[in-house]
Amino acid sequence: MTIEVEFVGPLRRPWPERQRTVELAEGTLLGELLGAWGYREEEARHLSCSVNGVAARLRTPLADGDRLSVALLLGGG
Amino acid sequence: MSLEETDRYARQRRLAVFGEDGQARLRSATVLVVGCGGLGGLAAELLVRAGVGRLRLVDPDRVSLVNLHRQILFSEEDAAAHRPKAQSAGERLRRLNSEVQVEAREERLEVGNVRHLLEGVSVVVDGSDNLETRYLLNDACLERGCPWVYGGAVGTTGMTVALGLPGGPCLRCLFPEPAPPNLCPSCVEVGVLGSLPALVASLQVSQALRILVGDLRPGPLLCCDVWEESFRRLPAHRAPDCPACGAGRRDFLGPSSTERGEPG
Repeated sequence: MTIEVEFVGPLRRPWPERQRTVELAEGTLLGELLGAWGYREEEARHLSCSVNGVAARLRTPLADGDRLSVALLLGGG
Repeated sequence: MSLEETDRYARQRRLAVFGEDGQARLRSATVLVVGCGGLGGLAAELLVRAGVGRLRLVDPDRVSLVNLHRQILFSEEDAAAHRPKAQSAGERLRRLNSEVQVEAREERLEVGNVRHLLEGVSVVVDGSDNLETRYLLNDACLERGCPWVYGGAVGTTGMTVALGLPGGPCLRCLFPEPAPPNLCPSCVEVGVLGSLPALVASLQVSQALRILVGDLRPGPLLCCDVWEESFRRLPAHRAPDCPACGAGRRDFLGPSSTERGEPG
């Protein structure tokens, strides 16, 4: 299955561009995907993720055609 | 309402979304602006020009030269004298609109004073420069039932969302825990484009004005990149498993909570 991924803000990314289409195994959990990108669990739980416009948690399973957004709260002001 | 005041706000009152009594609602409102740097400085100026009744401003820092490319309330003279930001900001804001009661405090928002600072406040605009202050503010605003408008700006990326509105999310619905510093770059580390805070603060003030005139609908988490010229609306819904507004915990209002900001 494939999903669309978008990183929002100055986040560590597994590739240079902000958006990419990613191929995954069926039933992959969001937390597993973030882990594969190098985010430890204690880091991943600080991210704000949404799938198709709905807030997602690390246990959320991903499905073919999903659109995933990953954001991090900005501290500067 | 005086004739002078009527004239001053004529273009604002004419706005259909403002409504007949929008200006009167602003005049009766008290707004707390936390920080008067890049975000808080412009937010404070726009709120004073809009005619809020009282503006309470809190910032513990002093003006330095590195602030001037984005912090519009301050001058080279302020930086040379290393003046307290709250003092310089208060003086400028009073000159912009003498009808607004400007209360500028040279102090840091922290556990010991946050409840006092929120007394009588209708809405809070966040212009702080660290995550700990925002999580504390979230707890305190939930406790008081006061909406607040988060804003953040780093590099060329900005973010804002209105929080604590009826049926809407709080900060911890969206970001349950403060991120560690290694995950969240600061303006000191990666810089900040001078035009970015102005954009984010303008969005924050628009949200605050909407709240003040009685439109309490929750909105999205709005993210922008001024260099890439992109805007994104991310969902911002209340989370049933939120530790703060869901479970009722106020982890950051505890006696051991501290905040560690860095000079803007």
